[in-house]
Amino acid sequence: MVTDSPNEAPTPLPSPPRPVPSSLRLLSGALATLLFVALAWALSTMPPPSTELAERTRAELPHAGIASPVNAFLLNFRGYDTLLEIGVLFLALVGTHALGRRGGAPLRRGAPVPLLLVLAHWVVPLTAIVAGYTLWSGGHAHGGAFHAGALLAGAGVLLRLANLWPARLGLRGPVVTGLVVLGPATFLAIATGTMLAGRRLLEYPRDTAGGWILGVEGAATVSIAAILVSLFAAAEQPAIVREDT
Amino acid sequence: MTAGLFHALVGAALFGIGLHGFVVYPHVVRKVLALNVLGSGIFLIAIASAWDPEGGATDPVPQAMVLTGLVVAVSATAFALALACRMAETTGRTALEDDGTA
Repeated sequence: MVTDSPNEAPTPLPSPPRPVPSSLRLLSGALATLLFVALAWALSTMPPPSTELAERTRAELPHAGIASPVNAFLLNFRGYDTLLEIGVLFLALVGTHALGRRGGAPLRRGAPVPLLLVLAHWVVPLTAIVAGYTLWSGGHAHGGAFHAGALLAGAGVLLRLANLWPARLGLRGPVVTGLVVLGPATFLAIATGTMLAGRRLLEYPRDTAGGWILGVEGAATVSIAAILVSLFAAAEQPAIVREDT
Repeated sequence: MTAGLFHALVGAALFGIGLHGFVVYPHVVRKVLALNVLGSGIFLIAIASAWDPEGGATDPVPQAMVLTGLVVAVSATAFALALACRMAETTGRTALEDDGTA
């Protein structure tokens, strides 16, 4: 029986699986090579892709509220996709928790690895600034909620590894849960709000679309970061600590 | 060979490598890694199709689709790894082997 407590004796490592017979390896290698050749042939003889959607995106861009075509497509023209995408992230976290892997178990006592401490002190504040800029720059250039959320999540994972994650915040507490729910909830509220106002799902008012999109993206950034850190925590081993304590 | 075709061919190679790895390695974590290599190949092919050598501007639609796909791939990977951990904890096994008792 395995418990979540890291203070008990570690369970023996599972035995490695039997390797696949070499005849099957050869067959699989040959088939994969064949598939590569077929794909390469198909790709090199493929007609140029249709640019109809690209042209429509470019034509509608002045009404999108943001100047970056990728983000205009993601958050305005196909905002529905992005809403579902956050739903997928949320579902992955719910599924992980349903497996009984909630993470956030108390960490082993001991000093964290000094390198991680120094790294965290330097990198985490910088990452927070860069993530804020990345979110903002999504309005006119590359960047956006997913980039910024991934950066913030990286900072969060580093904090967790360095054993600097605030204990009061925890990983199962109401604060993290609130952050996880914030993005999907804001997105859904705005999506239904536009419908209540007589428009279609996620059809922003044209003159204030930029502000709405920035709001959705801000909430999504926080939630993406919180969900990714929670997913990491759900599969993690206790923090990397020196064994000399 | 254009830059777009080169990237698409690298994507096709990654697809083949990932598929081979998925078949050959029985350890579930390796299978998850192999699926990620395979998926990266598909993303690379999709991104390569966004490149338009004449128009100069790249097509934002495939880029947006790949961005969506990356996020879905990351969350699916995390869920798969949690499943693998749970399987190892409950059964002590690391592969989906058919040992005749199941």
